[in-house]
Amino acid sequence: MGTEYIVSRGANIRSIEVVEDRGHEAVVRLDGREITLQLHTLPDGRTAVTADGLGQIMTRHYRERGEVVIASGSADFRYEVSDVRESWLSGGAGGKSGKGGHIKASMPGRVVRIAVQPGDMVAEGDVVAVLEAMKMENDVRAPAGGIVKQVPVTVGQTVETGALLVELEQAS
Amino acid sequence: MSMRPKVLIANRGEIAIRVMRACRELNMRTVAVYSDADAQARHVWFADEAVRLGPPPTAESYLRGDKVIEAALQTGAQFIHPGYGFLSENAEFRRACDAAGLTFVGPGAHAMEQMGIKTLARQVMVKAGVPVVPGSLEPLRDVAEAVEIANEIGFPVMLKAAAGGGGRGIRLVHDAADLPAAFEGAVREAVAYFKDPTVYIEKAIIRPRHVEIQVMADRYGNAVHLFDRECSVQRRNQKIIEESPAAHLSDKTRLAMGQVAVQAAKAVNYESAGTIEFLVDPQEHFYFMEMNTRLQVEHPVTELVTGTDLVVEQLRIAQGLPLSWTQEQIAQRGHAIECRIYAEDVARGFLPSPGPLHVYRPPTGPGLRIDDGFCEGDVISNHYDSMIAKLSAWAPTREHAIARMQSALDLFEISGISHNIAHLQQVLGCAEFAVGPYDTGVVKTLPPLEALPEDPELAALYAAVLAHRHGSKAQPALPASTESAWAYHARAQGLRNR
Repeated sequence: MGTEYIVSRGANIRSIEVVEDRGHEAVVRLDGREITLQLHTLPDGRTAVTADGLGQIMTRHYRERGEVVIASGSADFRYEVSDVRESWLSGGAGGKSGKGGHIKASMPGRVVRIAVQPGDMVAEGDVVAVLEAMKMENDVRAPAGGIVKQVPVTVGQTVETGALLVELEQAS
Repeated sequence: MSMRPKVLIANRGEIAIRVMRACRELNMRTVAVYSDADAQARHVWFADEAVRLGPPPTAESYLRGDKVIEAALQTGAQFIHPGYGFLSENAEFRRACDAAGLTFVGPGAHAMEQMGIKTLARQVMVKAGVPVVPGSLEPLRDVAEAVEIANEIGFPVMLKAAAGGGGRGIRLVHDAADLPAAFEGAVREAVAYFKDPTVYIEKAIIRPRHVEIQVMADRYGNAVHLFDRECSVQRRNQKIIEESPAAHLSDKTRLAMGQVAVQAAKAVNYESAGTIEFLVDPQEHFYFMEMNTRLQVEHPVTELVTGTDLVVEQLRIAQGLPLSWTQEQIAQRGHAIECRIYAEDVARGFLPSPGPLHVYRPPTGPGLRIDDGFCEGDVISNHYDSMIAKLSAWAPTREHAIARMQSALDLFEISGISHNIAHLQQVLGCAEFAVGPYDTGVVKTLPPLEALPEDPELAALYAAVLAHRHGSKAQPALPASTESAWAYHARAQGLRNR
């Protein structure tokens, strides 16, 4: 199972699921279509992005004011990208007027710390767990405030991408 | 002490670097000047040495003639090249250079003054046999005289400030009834902007073309023209695209204009590079508009079609050498177009867009020329002109030159600031420009550009993948994909040591 992102540019809002990322290629899903992006890093630092039927773009990228900037030739394309779960919790695009939120593992790894227990109140940005992957510890933060409903994992457990780590419900 | 002559370049940005290149080719040493905003600018490092002028505002730095002269004396420079803008058409500065024993690379103070006052320039031109727009040669005494002359030359007419420029102090009048109010308005503006109430009247040329002739003259009375440039693509009196030769002008008119321009230059004992600007009506009648007594921004198109180097020639002439060419030796070959790249936000009413140049990689290839003053990582300052580069394309035909320019603009990697490349592409691609004929109204006929042109689906998909890799909003920074300056430096060093 992949991770869904809300990718917005002005009034154009796309829901894009990143199904799999293998470095030199990535599988994404847009409007039910599964698309394989070939990603080729060029010696001059650009990335050639190619997909069947969608042609090719040569890009550089950076982040500015929270936006992902894709610079291709003389054209700049700026995107606001958010994890669909963040949007859901914050009641933004893709939200379902939710009563809670699922904080999932964004990568495969081992749970090395759990910082919350059911009933705890957390604020946006609080660390709720720490996942270790590729010898690096990664903080898992609450994308919005809420009350911890359940923590279905234990320290030491190995999880796959997308595994539920902490479930929050919105404080009333 | 070295015998190599030394030139101080009293300018910044692309034109400072352009002049320094010519100095290097002539084995002359270079001195840059800079404001505090430009302490790390490319032109400072391009020069052999550099002198600080003052704080960022131009009135406290690049317009301080006294400090420029002091810098030249302090560094032992014998020449001052003013570039364009700033001190380039300042007769007082020219005289101060003379007094300090410095050679100003440009025309004499008298020629500058005669061309600087519009009524004076018109009188000198008429005397030299140069056609001027019908109207008054002397300043207008009052409204009654304006009405009298307007009835004689016919409406519509223009009222203009004699000391004017930049589109200020100008009134277009269609009807005699509107003349008194317009006269008052023009005088008021002339006083406010130029501290000189002198106003004159001209017949209005509706939707004229703007064609100019490049001239070059030495101090021995020799003068030649280097053909024409068309500068009709303008937005609010600001030139955007220039080309040489003018697209739809007969050779007969072109040559007549060239001859007249040489007469004009000789009439004021002109020295160095200058440009005579003409208005051309649909019947190809041409009228003297003004003379720019300096190197023009758009000089590269002339260099590309004539195979000359105007700055090298300016420096030779300043050293007392005679002109390198006779008129017969100068030919126009092929077609050249220049596009000015401005840091402006086209979608937001062409607002200036200073800021960091995160990505800056100009295109290269056959027939392309770039004149620029910045590099990747530089910050475009809000204190100075918003032009960041000039891209020129030469090809055997106009059609090919346009295609070459379109392709090059498309490949111009530039990001971080907003820029006008989409607008340039819109002009190059419109039928009026591509097929012609076109005039100074061409930009106004174009529809406003969409604020957000459609993005390729691949860009959005790749943005999602990048967010997935590096975290979405929560992460402060995404590693830039561009090569680091250190890696580049190491590689450059490696190449140098080979």
